[in-house]
Order: sequence, then structure tokens, then C-alpha cells
Amino acid sequence: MAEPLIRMQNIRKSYGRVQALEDANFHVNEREIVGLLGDNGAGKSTLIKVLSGAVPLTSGDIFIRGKKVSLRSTSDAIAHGIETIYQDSALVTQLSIARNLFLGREPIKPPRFLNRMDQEAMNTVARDLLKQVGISKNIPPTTPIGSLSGGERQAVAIARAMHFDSDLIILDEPTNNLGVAETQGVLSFVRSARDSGHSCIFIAHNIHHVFQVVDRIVVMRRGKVVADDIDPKKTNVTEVERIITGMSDKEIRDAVADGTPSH
Amino acid sequence: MTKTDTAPPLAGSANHQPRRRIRLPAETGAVVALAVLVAVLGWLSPSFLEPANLLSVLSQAALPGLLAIGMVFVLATREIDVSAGAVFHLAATFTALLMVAGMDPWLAALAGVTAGAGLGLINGLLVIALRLPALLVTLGTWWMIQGLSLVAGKGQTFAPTGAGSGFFTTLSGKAFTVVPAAGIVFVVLTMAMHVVLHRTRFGYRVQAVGSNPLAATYAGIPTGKVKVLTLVLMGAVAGLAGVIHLGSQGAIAPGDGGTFALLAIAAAIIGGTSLSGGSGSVIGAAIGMLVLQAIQSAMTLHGVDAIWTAFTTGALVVLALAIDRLIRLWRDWRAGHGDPLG
Repeated sequence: MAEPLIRMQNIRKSYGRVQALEDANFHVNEREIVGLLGDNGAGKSTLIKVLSGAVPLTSGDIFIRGKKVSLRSTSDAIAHGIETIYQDSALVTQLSIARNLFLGREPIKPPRFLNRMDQEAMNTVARDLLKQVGISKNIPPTTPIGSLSGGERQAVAIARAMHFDSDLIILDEPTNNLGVAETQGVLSFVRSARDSGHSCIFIAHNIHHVFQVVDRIVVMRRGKVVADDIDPKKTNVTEVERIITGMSDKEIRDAVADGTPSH
Repeated sequence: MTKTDTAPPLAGSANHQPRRRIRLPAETGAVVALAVLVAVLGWLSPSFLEPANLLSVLSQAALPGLLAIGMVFVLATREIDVSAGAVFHLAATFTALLMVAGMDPWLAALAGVTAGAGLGLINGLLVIALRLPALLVTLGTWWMIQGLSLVAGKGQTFAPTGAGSGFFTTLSGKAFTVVPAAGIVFVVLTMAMHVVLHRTRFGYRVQAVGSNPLAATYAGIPTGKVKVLTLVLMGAVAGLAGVIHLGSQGAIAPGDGGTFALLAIAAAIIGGTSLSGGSGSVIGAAIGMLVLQAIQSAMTLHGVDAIWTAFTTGALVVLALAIDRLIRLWRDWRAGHGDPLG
């Protein structure tokens, strides 16, 4: 069997006495969209932060295509083809679209010691990418990215990851606060990322959005992966909610009837 | 090779052209303020407009202006350095001590600038290691550096030997017999650092770190390193200003540069650099310093007591902060509720 793109094995992460991750095992295959679900405090954010190099793991191993790697910083993760897109922290709204696309990977004009950015190259690529993500309304790439809508910004962030050939794109709440049409736009863009060869981890509180786009669902509870092979075509939202909360079907029905949120 | 060739159009993308707004450069306010100020001061006192007086204003603005240039970079990363005036003083004292010890004045000057950069590096490393805002760290190091300066200079005016050497004649000299050397360095460095802030990767990262530190971090920008580098730059320009002061005055006195850090912050704010980071204007800061020095010069010409100078400078800072805050509120209001002008 082929090695998965990403394999996280026996990952432990503790903050003092708090055990945020406890022997978590997680994998993502090539060209696969994985939905990562869990209640607040389940450990999904910590798992993602470990994978994106934002926090160091306490113990455990991470493999990329079977090769053990060490992700000590976000730049380490990016160098290994892992790009993380947080909805509120993906882009710098004051900077232009072109500059955002090249955030952290700015092209330099020769001679390199002068450290001058190649603005023309950035603008050219940005124009192409804007068309590719469907924003073809003659917006100059020098426009501040704050001028775009929330969905468009998500699309630009995903396009950035695709342009730089990231193997894995981690999307943290990409549909939060978006309207229906914009959500559909982002979901379709995530699918197109998978179709063009990228893998994605999709984290969202709205389980319906997850069901619409992912190939496989992974559920975390109390720092552990409690289910990692849920096929969204063969299950339903209620069943996944039951796994997320650890409650039985009857307990969920009773909680819903009582008005108690089940997740 | 990119894999984006097959990406479909984005559904739900708003089909509107963003409205083109006239975006005035950040330094517009400072330019207008300086023009109005010069016109008013010239009307009140025609001697203000005499070339000798205007060059004197440039000369007085040059050294604190160099600190203002460095301060723009620090402010743009959402930090602030209040130790810059003390670094200025220690760099000048250190240079003078090396000259007294027999070192070539130019080499001593280079060592003085390096010492300034080194103090900036210490500030930066403390900010990263202690995970504290630079304001708190530099408040501490300000007192430490000031103490070191007083110990090194024995609390007295320190005049190194070697007056008449090329170092002193160059820095106390004037180009075309009228333009002070410090003024030339100030203008050239302003232009150079403007390019650095807006055209280089370093300047771009400074703005990114100040605008959205999390986004910068997740994009792989080493935010800590960028902040350290801005503080090193601040220390280096403060050291350079100290060395030029020593060269042009031939001595360093205990109180020299004491107000420079606050003047630099004031000039940067007046010039359009926001305290909340993300953007800055080197040219604006330079003009802001000219505004401050023009006011001080006019007050001197009108015989106003020198103690009112500090009050006026403080009032200008408060005014600039109020304007900055109002602009920010206006932008937030527009972002949240649309354009009130329709």
C-alpha cells in the first residue's frame, strides 16, 4: 500500500499539565480532502498547529511520503509543502493582492544583495491567478486585498498555496461568516484544488459544509483521533455528531429536544 | 510549475469593480502642515524665510531626524524604542573615548555606529527572549545606557583630541559653503530608507509584520527576526547621529540627545506613521521633524521662553495622535458601515 502524503504517529502535545494531544494518529492521502471534526477542546487546532509548525510537538513522529520530518517553524512546514490558511490570519489586508500572494516568498530582482522586490513579476502572476480563481473583473493586482470580499480572499489564499505547489493545504474555518453563494464558491475551489493534485485538510464548525466537500472525515475527542475513516457518502450528520460528542443517538435526540447544543 | 491551470471561476464572487478611491500619500498631511507653517511663520516674521534660518532649521532637524527615520521602521512593526536618545549619546561618548585612546577618528566613528547597532541588537534580543513589548524593554535599557554614558563620560562634557582632523572638518563643514554636512546625510538617508521601506523585501516584511503578525508568521516570515532587525537599524542610525554630532560639535555633553527619542516618535507620528503598525512614511517623518524644528525656530525668533518649546512639541504629538485615531475610526466605520458619503 502506498505511503500517505502525511502521517502523524503517536503525537503528544502538552501545555504544562494539560494534555492537548494524546497519542493522536492521523494521515492524509494524496489528492484527498480530509474533514477534521471535533468539539471545542478536542485537539484539532493543536494537531493542525503541530502540522503547520506553529507549535512544537512534545513527542511523536511526522512523516511526509514515508520520510520522517521535523517541523520546527511555519517556514519549515512551508518548505515541506504544507500551507495553512486561517480565515482571519491568512492575508494582510493593508497590502496589495500581489504582495499578499507572495507573502513570505517575495521574488527578488538581481543583484540580490540589494534586496529589491520584483514588483512586475508579482503583478504578472497576480493577474493570472486572479483570473484563475474567477475574479476576472480587471482588478489591478496593486489593489489592497481588503477590497475583496471574504470569499474572494479565501480563494486568493488557496490560489497562493496552489501556485507555490503546496502538497497539503490546511483550511481552518474557510467558510466562517461567508454567505451561501460565497461558501459554495470556496467549496468548489477546494474541490478544484484536490482535482489539480493537492490534498486538503478542511476544518469547519458547520458539518454540512464538511459533508459537501470532503472525501473522508476524521473525528477527534479529548486529544485523540476516535474515528479516522468515515465516508461522508455512507453516513449522516447525526451519526458524525454522535461520534464527535461521544453521546448515543438517544442522548443526542434528548439533548436536541431539551434545547441543549449537541456540539 | 503551477497546478492552477484548471481552476474554475469562483462562484459567489461579487461581480463588482472596487470603487477607485483617490489615495493620498501618507505624507500629504505633513507636507501641507509644513507648507502652511512656513507660510504663516514667514508672514509673522519675514526673517524666518531667510536662507540662513531655513538651513539652520535643516541642520537642527538632521540629527533627531535620523532617529525619526529609524523609528518609522520600529513603529511600523507595532513596536517603539524609547532608548534611541541614550544610544545616540553612548555611541558619541564611545567614539570620543576611542579617539582619546588614539584610534583613527574614522575608524572610531565606524565603531560608534557599530556600537549603536549592537545596542539595538541587545534591545531586539531582549524583546524576543522576554516576549515583552519593546516599549518596556527599551524603557529599562534607556536608563542602563544613559547610566553607562554618564559613567564613561564622567558626567561632563567630553571633547576628544584630534580636532582639526579630516573627521571633524568634514562633519562640521558645509557643502557649497551653506548646506551643513549633517543636513546632507539626513536628506540622502531619508531617500535611501524610503526606498528600503517601499521597494525591498525587508521593508515589505516590516509592513506585513506590523499589519498582521499572525498572517506574516503563518506565511513563513520570521517575525522575531524582522523586529530585531528594525531595532538594530534604529540603533545604527542613532549611533550614526551620535557620531555626526560629535564630529560637527567636537564634543558630547551630558544632556545631548536627551529628547531625541521622543522627538523622533513625534516626527514619525506627525509624518503619517501609525502607532498601530503596518505602515510608515520615512519622508513623512523627515518632514515631521522639519515641522517640529520650524516651530522651535519660530518660537526662538519671537523670543518665546524655551520651556514652551517642550509644551508645544507635546501638544503637537497629542494633536497628531488624535488625528491618527480619528482617521482609524473613520476607516473602521467605513469598513463596517459603508461609505458615509455614499
